[in-house]
Amino acid sequence: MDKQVTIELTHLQNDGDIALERMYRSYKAEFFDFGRRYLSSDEDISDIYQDTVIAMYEKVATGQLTELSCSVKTYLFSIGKHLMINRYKSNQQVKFELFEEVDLAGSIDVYPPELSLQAEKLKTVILQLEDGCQRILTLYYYRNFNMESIAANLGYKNANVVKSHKARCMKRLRKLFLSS
Amino acid sequence: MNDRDKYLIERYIKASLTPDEEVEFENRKGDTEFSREVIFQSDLRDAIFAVKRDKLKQRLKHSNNPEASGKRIFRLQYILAAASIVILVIIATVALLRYESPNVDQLYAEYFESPPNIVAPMLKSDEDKASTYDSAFQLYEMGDYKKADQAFELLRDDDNVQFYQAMCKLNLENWDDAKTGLTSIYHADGKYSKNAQWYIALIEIRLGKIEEARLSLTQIISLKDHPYQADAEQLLRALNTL
Repeated sequence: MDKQVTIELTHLQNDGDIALERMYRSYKAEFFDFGRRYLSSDEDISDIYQDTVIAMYEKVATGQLTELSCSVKTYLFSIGKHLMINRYKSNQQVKFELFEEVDLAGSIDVYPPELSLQAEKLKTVILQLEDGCQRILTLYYYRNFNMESIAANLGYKNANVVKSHKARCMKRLRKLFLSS
Repeated sequence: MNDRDKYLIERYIKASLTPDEEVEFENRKGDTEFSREVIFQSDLRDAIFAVKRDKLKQRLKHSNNPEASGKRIFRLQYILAAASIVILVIIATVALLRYESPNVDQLYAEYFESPPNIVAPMLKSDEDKASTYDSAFQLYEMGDYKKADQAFELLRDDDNVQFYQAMCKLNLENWDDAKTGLTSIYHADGKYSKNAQWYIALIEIRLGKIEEARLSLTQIISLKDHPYQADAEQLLRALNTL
């Protein structure tokens, strides 16, 4: 894997949201030029670019993407293209003549799942939890961290403290969920 | 639900079941309670992902700036510049008169995070025998900032107590008291001095004291190895776009 690609992926993995923002700014102007081949609205392109960067970040943060055989930019733009095609199909105001030129092969799974009713309700409940709980649950479910890594990341004494804290957070979450 | 079931569900959620565990997992799915917990945990994971996506999206939207949006937007800005400048002058005047920008609340909310209780985290075994000291921190951890503030008031004034009490006041939006407490922590140059410096900058932003905030952030940025250096850089950039 190219050294620059390794560096960018490592930053995304370790520095999290800050690295995400850095990547967002790095490729933004080029992505807009690229996006205008498919979409006529800068607002749509901006929206898709945000989804694109988040989709890639999610793959790196969750450990699904650890190496690349192409540049970060190529990968990012591939995701963006798929998202744009999706938007492209649902929008009557776009440039239809370009549609046939788009290569649909090698589709990348980047679309977030539709939330069930229970998940929608849980989403509201999560936001009612105190910050400490939100942080622990995010690291556990989103970043796929184990208890030791969460302890190191949030400055807890050890994994047992985190385990106990997480259990309390879950208890509170279930209570809020049942009463909502 | 027994420990084995919990283990299997955890492995399933983290997509790390071994082939043998997968068979065991499938067999257990016939159990109603097990199945319900699997659905609950899966939905919880989806919900957490959705919350995180929303937060990231907000963050990226906020980091938008006209220069990076490309030539088309630049051209549009050029055409509208004459008209915009009048509006900008009016907005700036109103903002200056009010000494507050309508975006500062949003900025503050985006960057403010109440620090976790790492002084006396709650443990199951502590439930019935927590000391007064630990109880104060646990009230803080539970988000009961009013009671925690009162509890801290009665404690010996050490570094931890001072800092977390200031955090209570911040969460209670008692800006003046929070800033007074944090300023004292900052000048004491103890273990929370740098944290205090960051939260003081946030209070200044929240109160619309933009120039003071800029100065505080610039000081943070200039300090080597300051834990909030990167955040301060970002925040200062965001502040400059207001």
